[in-house]
Amino acid sequence: MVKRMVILMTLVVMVLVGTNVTVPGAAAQDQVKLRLWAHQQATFNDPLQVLIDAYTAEHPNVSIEMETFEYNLYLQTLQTAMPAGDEADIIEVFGSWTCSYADRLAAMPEAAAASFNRDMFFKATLDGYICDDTLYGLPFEFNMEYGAALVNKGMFEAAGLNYPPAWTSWDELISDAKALTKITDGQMNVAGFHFTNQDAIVFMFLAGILQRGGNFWNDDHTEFNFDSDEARETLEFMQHLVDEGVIDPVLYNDTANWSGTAFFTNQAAIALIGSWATALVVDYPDFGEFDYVPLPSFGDAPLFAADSGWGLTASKNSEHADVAWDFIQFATANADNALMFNTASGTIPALRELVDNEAYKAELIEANPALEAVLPQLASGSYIGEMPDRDLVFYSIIYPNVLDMLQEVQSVDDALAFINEDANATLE
Amino acid sequence: MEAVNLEAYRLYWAMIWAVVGSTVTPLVFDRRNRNPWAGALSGLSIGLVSGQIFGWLLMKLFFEFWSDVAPTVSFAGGLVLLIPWWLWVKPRPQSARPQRGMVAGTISPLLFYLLVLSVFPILWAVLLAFFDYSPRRTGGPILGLGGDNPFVGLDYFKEMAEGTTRDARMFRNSLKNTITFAMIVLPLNLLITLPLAALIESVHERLKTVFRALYFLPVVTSSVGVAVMWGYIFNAQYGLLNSGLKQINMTPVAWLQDPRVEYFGIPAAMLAVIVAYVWQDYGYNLVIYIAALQGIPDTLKEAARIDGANGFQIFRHITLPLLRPTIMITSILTMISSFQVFDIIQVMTRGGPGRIGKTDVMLLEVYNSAFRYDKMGWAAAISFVLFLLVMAVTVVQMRLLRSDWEY
Repeated sequence: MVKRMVILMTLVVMVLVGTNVTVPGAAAQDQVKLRLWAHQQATFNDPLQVLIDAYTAEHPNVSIEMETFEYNLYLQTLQTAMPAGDEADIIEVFGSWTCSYADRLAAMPEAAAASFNRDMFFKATLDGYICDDTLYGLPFEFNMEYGAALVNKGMFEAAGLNYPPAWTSWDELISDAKALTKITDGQMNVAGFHFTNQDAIVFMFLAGILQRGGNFWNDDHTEFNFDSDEARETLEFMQHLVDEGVIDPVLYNDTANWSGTAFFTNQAAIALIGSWATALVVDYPDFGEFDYVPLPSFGDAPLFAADSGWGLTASKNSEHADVAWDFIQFATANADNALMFNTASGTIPALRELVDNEAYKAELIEANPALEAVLPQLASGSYIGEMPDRDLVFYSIIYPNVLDMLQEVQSVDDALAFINEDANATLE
Repeated sequence: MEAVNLEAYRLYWAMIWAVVGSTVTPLVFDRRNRNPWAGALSGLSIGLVSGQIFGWLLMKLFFEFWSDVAPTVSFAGGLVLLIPWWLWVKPRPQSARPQRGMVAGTISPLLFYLLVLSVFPILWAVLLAFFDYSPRRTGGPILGLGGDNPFVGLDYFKEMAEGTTRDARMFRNSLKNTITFAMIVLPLNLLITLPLAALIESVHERLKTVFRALYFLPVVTSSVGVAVMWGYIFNAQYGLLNSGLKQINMTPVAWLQDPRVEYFGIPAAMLAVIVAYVWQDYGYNLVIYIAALQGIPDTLKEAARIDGANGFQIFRHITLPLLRPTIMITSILTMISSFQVFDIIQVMTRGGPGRIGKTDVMLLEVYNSAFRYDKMGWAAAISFVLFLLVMAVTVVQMRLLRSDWEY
């Protein structure tokens, strides 16, 4: 039987050698087929498909197939597909994830990088895609969670307040918020100023530090510096907002009465949230008029920290990383294409030209009036810095510690000490 | 060929032909008086090899001119070597040894699946517990271990026991919460189900079926649905429970949100998720107890009644001891499922409220560490501890509730 098996295997080898087949994947040079992975979000996916169609029309030898995944599944797919080398050629990622995936991504080709002008993009967005001074992707939007707030016109008018508000100081905002807060049967049922969802707490904390002249990094960006006077003042100010009664952080936070939902269900009169939240109104057709207005600053300039934005990267395993990169530049660095994406998706532009050029700017504001409040502030943004695990620092360290402090479970000093110690432990 | 996901097809070819090979070959061997287990092993190996080589070849050859059909044709690859193998096996003279062709043909493919889909992942998880592994890093050449994903030995377990980092604190909190949850759920479940089963058993046969169906309904309801429903009931502002409290002039409680509220030293949020969990779970044990009660011979109760025993005495001295094996199995199952609680808590509280989550249990820590923060090694280490914990509790329960007799 062993003899027969040997004969059989020899035959197999002979057949394999005799067939002289080429290795799969080494297809004809002129046809390039790429896959693009993105998370499921129609406002992003639809304009991205328009860009794909435009690119493939210009390059008939290239085809790009977009595959989308539900957000949580997308993260898990990246985590499993990348080690298996089975990921798509072009991958949509969030800027602050890029450096942690840099091992598996293709850097911008040298020829393109040599002539690429990095100042085309707002620094706060592009810095997320730069790891060790190498560019691993380009952003197609600017993620800005702090700087402006949603305001409910009906509630302002019912309270006899000026609308839209043009706050020049925090005292003015607090005064309005107090007038808007409603309490029934001992429970808050309208929050005057909702700032206690995850992103709002985190980015208000970071902006507060920056606007007061501090920094949450040490000088050489090797350690966090959350236990500073500026950080303490910011937390004390947040505590002051709670003491003034404009928010109940037990009833209003990220797991209960999240600010987007609370605002559009008339449970919050002013809500601190990113401009992307204005699109949520489509789910509340009966909701009245609202606006998105700038917040006052704690200092001279409206400085804020931004964690880059969504963008595109190319896989290191792609056989056509150069073509993938060509598409990435086509979609993000071309002003007309970027404008189409930002107007269709309602996102903030990452490309400077769209803000500097008045015609582009007018088109952006026409498509999304909420941008009027944020476009003047974009140049004041700075990238949060390279963190090994941004989600852990933001959502499992800063947010719960600050919320505990606001809920009077721990003191300001304890909150700062825990945040500083635990955040620095993530850098080890 | 670029349009075809060859990785996926390789997996299909392997799984299909390993199973066909290990199922059919033992039967062929059996008919020819050969050892069917050797047949299973050879069939599995040849199926795997043939599926890979000829599946790929057929795909390649057909793709050139008939690309739509190529993937389907490639599935015939396994037969290229398996059929000759089945034909070439020579019969042996009748053997006195009993052959087990059907047994080998049934067990071998299942063993293969168990090995590939359960045993290997478990071993992989155990292995990961000793590495600082993140899928974002490329790591060493073998399975991505080593290099940027370094070996850390027992560091994670030491960290869990005596570390002061956030991870260590969160782990110890989740361990405490998991044990608290299980220790409350188990007696509560038994306290509800045992008497309830006895009551249902005592009613008319038709009503018995109705009650059984009613009480079993929550078991077949989606955990997420149950969690959402109880989330509404416990809602601080508009929940049913707080509306009732307001009606009787009591202060409403933020059951799921306030980390400061405790009853008997147990956080209100923990009590809330326990109520939701027990409500969904108790129907399962209930039907088991009803079945067990129906199995107790009436003659024993009748004899006790003639000897003057009342209902409680019969329950205490006849029913309860005879239910001991059932109590053991339901206790073990309830304890295991309590240790594995995840979905209800994830939906109702996400492990909160509070910085050190009041309802943060071990599986939530595993999920967050692995899939939110990419700390696969740490998550695997927690899973390993959870496995040891469940095993230890199961062994202890089996020892305590063991009975050496049957009725």
